[in-house]
Amino acid sequence: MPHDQSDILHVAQSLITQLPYAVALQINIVAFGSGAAAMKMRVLPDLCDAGGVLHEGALTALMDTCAGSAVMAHDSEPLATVTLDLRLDLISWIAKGTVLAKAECYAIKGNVAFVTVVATDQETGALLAKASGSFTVEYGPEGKGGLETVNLQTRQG
Amino acid sequence: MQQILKQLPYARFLGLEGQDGGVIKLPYRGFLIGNPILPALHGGVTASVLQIAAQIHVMDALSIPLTTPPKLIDFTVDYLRRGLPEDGFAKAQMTRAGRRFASVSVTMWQGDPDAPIAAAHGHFSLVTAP
Repeated sequence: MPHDQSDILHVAQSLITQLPYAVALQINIVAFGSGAAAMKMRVLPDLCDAGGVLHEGALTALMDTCAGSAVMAHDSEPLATVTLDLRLDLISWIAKGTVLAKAECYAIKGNVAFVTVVATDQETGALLAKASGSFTVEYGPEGKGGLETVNLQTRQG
Repeated sequence: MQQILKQLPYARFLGLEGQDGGVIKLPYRGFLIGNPILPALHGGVTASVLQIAAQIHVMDALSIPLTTPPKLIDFTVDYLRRGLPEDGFAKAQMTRAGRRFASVSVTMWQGDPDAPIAAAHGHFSLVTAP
């Protein structure tokens, strides 16, 4: 890769700021490249349950975003990806601080990418959740890049 | 159901509303989008709505107070169709509830309940962890 890491992170962060729900959750990208991505999300009161613990749904949204970004960070340079399925195991809870999610796209076979993602409490390092998922992968025609070349999916059924 | 939604900050953040027949409604708003090009609902929004619908269904069915909400142990989501930029609906069904665990299935749809955009299955812990 000819770019340095801060350039790549800058581009990756601008990719994230194009995702309205990632912006709403105030997700920040901290690493991106070689089929891996890492992101941070603060435990905001709005994202919690009635007991003040980060709601599983907000944690899932972070992990899904991070997993999808790991696909986009794959060396084969996909143009777009959509979650096919996600299986999540929830180990422990977090009530304050920051969640750190790390995802790895460990294989791509045809148009399917396989990803694992782990979320930890950034301060204590405690394991919060672990997930694995499969994602669709879209590639653009040769020599044509950018999100605008993504095929518009039509609704099935 | 409406009462639980009101007291759950993350449900308020998403703007969820309770409807008749145990249906949870997600009124569409722009910030719920994950892919602005398609556009499509964020997969995390879909998963969140499914999880909250499942959680509230368990609380309703077993009369669990708000102070000890059932916590998710695991959750599996199949994304079946692209989530369109429009209102969504979710309904859960409890497969089994024992003393310690509840098993729940939940689907989310938009126009047609028979054409779900996502289907999920999860397990909740009914005992508060130490």
